[in-house]
Formats: sequence, C-alpha cells, structure tokens
Amino acid sequence: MKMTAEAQVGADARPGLDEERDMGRQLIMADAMKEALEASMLEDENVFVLGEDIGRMGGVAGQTRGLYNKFGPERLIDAPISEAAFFGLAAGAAQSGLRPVIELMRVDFIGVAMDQLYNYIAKIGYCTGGRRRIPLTLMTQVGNPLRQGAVHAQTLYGTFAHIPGLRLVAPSTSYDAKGLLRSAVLSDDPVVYFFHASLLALPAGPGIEEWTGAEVPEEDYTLPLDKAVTRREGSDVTIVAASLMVHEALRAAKLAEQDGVSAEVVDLRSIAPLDMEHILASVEKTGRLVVVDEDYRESGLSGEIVTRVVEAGVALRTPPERVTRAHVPIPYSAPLDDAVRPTPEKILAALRQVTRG
Amino acid sequence: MTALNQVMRMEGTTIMGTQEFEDRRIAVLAQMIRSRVFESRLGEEFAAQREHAKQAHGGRNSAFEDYNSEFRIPIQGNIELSLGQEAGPAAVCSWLNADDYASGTHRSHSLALAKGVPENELLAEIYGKETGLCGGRGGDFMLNDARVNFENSAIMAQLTGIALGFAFAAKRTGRNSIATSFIGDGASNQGIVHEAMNLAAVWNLPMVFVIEDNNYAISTESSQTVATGDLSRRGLAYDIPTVRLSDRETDKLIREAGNAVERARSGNGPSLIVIDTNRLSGAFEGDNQSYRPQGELEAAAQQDALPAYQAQLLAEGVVSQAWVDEQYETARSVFAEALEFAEKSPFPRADSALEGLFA
Repeated sequence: MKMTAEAQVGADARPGLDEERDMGRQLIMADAMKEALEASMLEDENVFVLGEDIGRMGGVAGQTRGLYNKFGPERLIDAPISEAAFFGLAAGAAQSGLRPVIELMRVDFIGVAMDQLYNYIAKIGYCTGGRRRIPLTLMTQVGNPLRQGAVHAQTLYGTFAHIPGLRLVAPSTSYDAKGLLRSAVLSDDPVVYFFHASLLALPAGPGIEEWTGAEVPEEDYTLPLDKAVTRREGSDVTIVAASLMVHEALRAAKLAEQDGVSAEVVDLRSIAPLDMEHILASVEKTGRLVVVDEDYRESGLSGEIVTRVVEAGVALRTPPERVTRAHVPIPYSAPLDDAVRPTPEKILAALRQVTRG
Repeated sequence: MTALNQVMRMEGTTIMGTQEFEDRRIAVLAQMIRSRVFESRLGEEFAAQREHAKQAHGGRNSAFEDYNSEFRIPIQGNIELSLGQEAGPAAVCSWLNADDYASGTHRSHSLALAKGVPENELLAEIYGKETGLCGGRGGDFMLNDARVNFENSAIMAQLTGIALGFAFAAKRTGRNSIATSFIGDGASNQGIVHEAMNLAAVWNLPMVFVIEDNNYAISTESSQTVATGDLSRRGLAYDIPTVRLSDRETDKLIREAGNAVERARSGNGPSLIVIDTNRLSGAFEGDNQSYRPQGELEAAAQQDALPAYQAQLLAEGVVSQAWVDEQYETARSVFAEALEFAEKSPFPRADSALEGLFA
C-alpha cells in the first residue's frame, strides 16, 4: 500500500520539542534509501542497480548494503570504472523496458560521463518529441564531511540544474530520502538524486537536532519530485536551502531567534524544477530572502533563486543575501575550507544583514 | 585461446551459392543503390539550394549563414554524406530486424536507410518539419526511429555506450535481438569505444561493433591519430573476435557480418568488424577536400564498392541490367517523393517548442 501523503515534518520540527514525545520509527538516511531501493526492486523486476562497488560491498557509504544478498548479482551489478559506458548502457536499457538505477560514486566524477548525461540522457526525450523516454535514476553522493579536497567534495547542483531535461532532487531527511528515491525510480524521466555524505548517518550521527528525527514509516510511500516543503515557520525572513544546508539554515534560524528574528526555512527538495510557487509564497509573507547553497557561487542555483524571486516582482524589504561556497575550488586544509564554505555563522550574519534596521 | 587465434578461427556460417545467400546479395546491392541515389540527390539539392542562396545575395556565403536573414534555404544545417560507404551498412543490416538496434554517427544516412528508416520521414526531419522522424526536434544529427531502433548522434562514438544498453536489455529480458554500433576510424579514438568494448566483452553482450575506416577524420588522416595503425587491434585488445576487410570484398563482408550477428544472437558475445572503405564526398557538403593528396580522390573513386559489386553481380548473371536500371529508377522516384513530402510538410508549431521536456 503506497502512501502519497505529504510529510508533516515541518509542522513538528520546532525548537522545544517535547522530549517525552514518541519519535516513531527512526532510520538513518542510508537505510531509508535502501528501503526505497528494496521496495522498488520487489515491485518491479525491471529495476536494477548498477554502479561501482554497490553490489558485493554494498556501496562505499553502505547505501545498498544487504541488497546484494537479497537480490543477487543480476539486480545489484558491480560496474567497471567506466562511467561513460555504464551511463550509456543504462540509458539504452531504459529505452528497452528496464528501469535502471545507476550510481555515480561521487558527484565529482561526472566529468568523465558528462557527454552521456547532458548530450543524450537529458536531451533524447525532448529531441524525439517524446518518442523516446529514459526512465533512469542517477544516485550520487555529494558533500565534504571528510574534507577530501577539490575533487571529492563538491555538490555541483548548478552544473546539473543548468541542463534542461533532468529532474534533480536532494533529500534533507531520512523520510524524504526514502520517498524521493522511490518516486525517482517510478518516474519516466531521468532523475538525479543527490544524497549528502554528511546526512547518511541521520538521525543517529553527531550533530543531531530535533528536526532530523522525522519518523520513517515502514510502509512504502512516494513524494512528489517537484515540491518544496517548509521546515520551520517564520515571519521576518525566508531562508531557502537544500540538503545539508537545510540543517545549517535551521541552526542559524535558532541562533537568530535569540536576536528576536523569526526565520522561515524552505527546503527545496527539488532543485530542478524549482518549486517557485512555494518559495514565492514564503518570500511574499516575510519580505526578506537569504539563499543558502553549498554549491559554487557564480551563475548557479543561488543566483537563479534570487533572480526568479526578483522577476516575480516580490517586494523585498531589503536586498537579498546569498550564503554559498566561495567561487574557488574547494581547498583541502580545514581552515581554508571553513573560510569558503557556508556555515551557520555566515547564515546568521546574512540574516542579521537582511533584518537590520 | 589467444585473441589472434579467435580471429583466425572465424568461420563462415553462411554458405555461398545457396539461394538464401543469392537473395541476400541482391538485397544488399539494391540497398546500396537506394542509399547512393538518396544521398546523391540530397547532395545535389543541398548544393543547388546553397547556390541559389548565394546568387540571391551577390555570391556571398552569408546568405545561408546569417541567423537573422529572412532568406532561408529549405535544408537546414550541415549535410554529411556517406557516399562510397554504402556496402557496410547494407551488408550488416541485411542480417538485422526491426528489434535489433543500430546506432550511427553524423555520417549515417546509408545506415538509416539500410535499417529501414522511411525516406519521407528521414528527409522531412532534415527539413525540420513536423512530419519528420522526431517532429523536427532532432535534425540530421539526432535522427531517431524507435520503430526500427535506429538512431545517430553527431557526438563522436557517443552511442557506442547507448548500444550497450540495448544489448544488455536484450540479453537480460531474453529477447533475441542484438545491438550494433557504427563508428568511423576517427571516432574509434574516443574513450567510450574502449569502455564499451571492454564492458561488452566482460559481460558477453550481444553486440556488433562496426568501424567504417575511411581513413579520414574530417581532414586528419588515420596515420596521424591511430597509434596501432590496424584498427582491428581495437577488438583484439578486448578479446573480441574481429575481422578486417575491404568493402570491395562485398560478399565476404556480407558473410562476416552474418557471422558476427549470429555470434551475438546465439549468446556468444560481441564482435568487431573493421571495414576499409572510401569517403567519396567531403567531410561535409561544401568541403572541397583540398587536404587530400593529388589523385587520391580519383583513386578512391576507382575503389568504389558499389559499381564493383554491381558489375560483379551482373557478370555472374545474378542480376540483369534491366533490374539494375529499375533499382536506380525506383530510388530516384523514392527520393523525388520524399522531397515533395518534406517540402510540403508543415513546420512544427512555434508554440510547441516548450512542450515535452519531461514525460
């Protein structure tokens, strides 16, 4: 039985949560993803997972652990380090009645498979007038908790979002991780599913906050692939963020509360297409905007959101602020990385800036 | 068994002299003629349209290069012809059915036609018309016909990867279909080709890789770009049974294509066929080929497989001159009909341009 109801995460995710409250079924994000894959594979024999080390090993982040033993090597297929070839393979297979889930071990590796993705997978549906469609899910890990430097740390949301023809989702909670992945596999379009390395142990990992403990139902459910959700209600300023940055935004919102600033936090969930209706409704209410983006600053997601808010004619009471990665490659050394990455403190500074006076 | 031994052991599973084989030879020649005439006429039309445009604009090329000019010639874009290379696609596709997949490059009209793409819709797509294969959204560089599982891409060797997926799905779902991927000598330098050959071999996929070696990547000779010289080593490197032959050995080409297709269909994995051939036209129409050494084009024309095979079948009495004449006549009228279809077809509605990004 599929549950299509929206998560009521935002409504419950407020500071001062009753400690006695039953949090319901708690699942780390990696396990939530696994449940979505398992449900997809049980439902449809044409679903298979293809990627490097996702079979026998269970994924470098444990996101497919146990599935190999359950479904075997025909459903969990360990690929050679040939991303271009197995992206292409998946795209061809997807046009022949199969429903592949491919994994790009880290988003940083997309360069070697970019042609298959942006010149073929994203385009062929439109360029054939719908005579071909590619029901394919691309799972890929983003983020930099281990501080691995410039090529194992990026998010690249804007790089993908610039390509017409791809749906992009980035869950921030285990609940969303399960529902969005389930929907991605069911979609007849190519969907890129960004899962964040810093969130895989949610809600069991360090830095646990009350809002991360969303209940994950055991039963199967889907979530819409193009809808944002409000994680925290507020009246003075809207913070728009995705994935890990939702958590950083919520932390900053808590800090801002001590200044008497009421910040609303909108979780994009879908990076493409953007749920502008939801974003605009929030900004119209608060009249102030801070966009937080873990991706590079220039010509990307943060600029796009600000632009579309301005284009929509929303009357902003103060100029919008962006908190993003600085526009440099991600440096290795921790102090350098801290200097260029978005942090709750930087978000707080932006909140103060837009609410000043 | 070494890879070299595998090559030496390639066996003929198709017997010359049988009626089945004689019929196939005739069909291959008929297809070669059909492709030759289509592309010759397409080239003539394109040249005439460009000349008309130049005349109308005082002899300037800008007549068809100015984006904002009101003046338009009907054939959009660049046209890349496969004149001289018809034998390979005709021979290989003579063993394929509509469920089998074939992918080509920018130089793929012969392959499209041999795979069964209808001339009317092919030309209408080149004209950017609503009645085209993709409703005018793909054009000559993204031809796609799901009904006969043909597509091409002007990204060199891109579809080698996609072909793997059709082969993979066929094997997985127990269908008896196979996938073929046609590229040129230039595209065989792409990394995806090597990834795909390795993967096809290691997963024993029902694939036939075809390299049409016309010795030129636009203006650059193979000798300047291919370390190994002999492209059959591309297959040997991955333990893929490989043959290399000239398209003038058309009968042998047909047989070896049959062997490779049969090997794939019977679950015995991928093959590579390297076909030495000649590009008689420019890399694109309007390319004067001044980079080719003196006399080379003339020599290539002497090596043209079509007249040679036609003469061979005539000499053997397999076909008659009347039959040959009829093939050319039919092909010309097919093109004429396609031209009329393309010209008379409507353009897609401009306001449909934003539709259909997603399913």
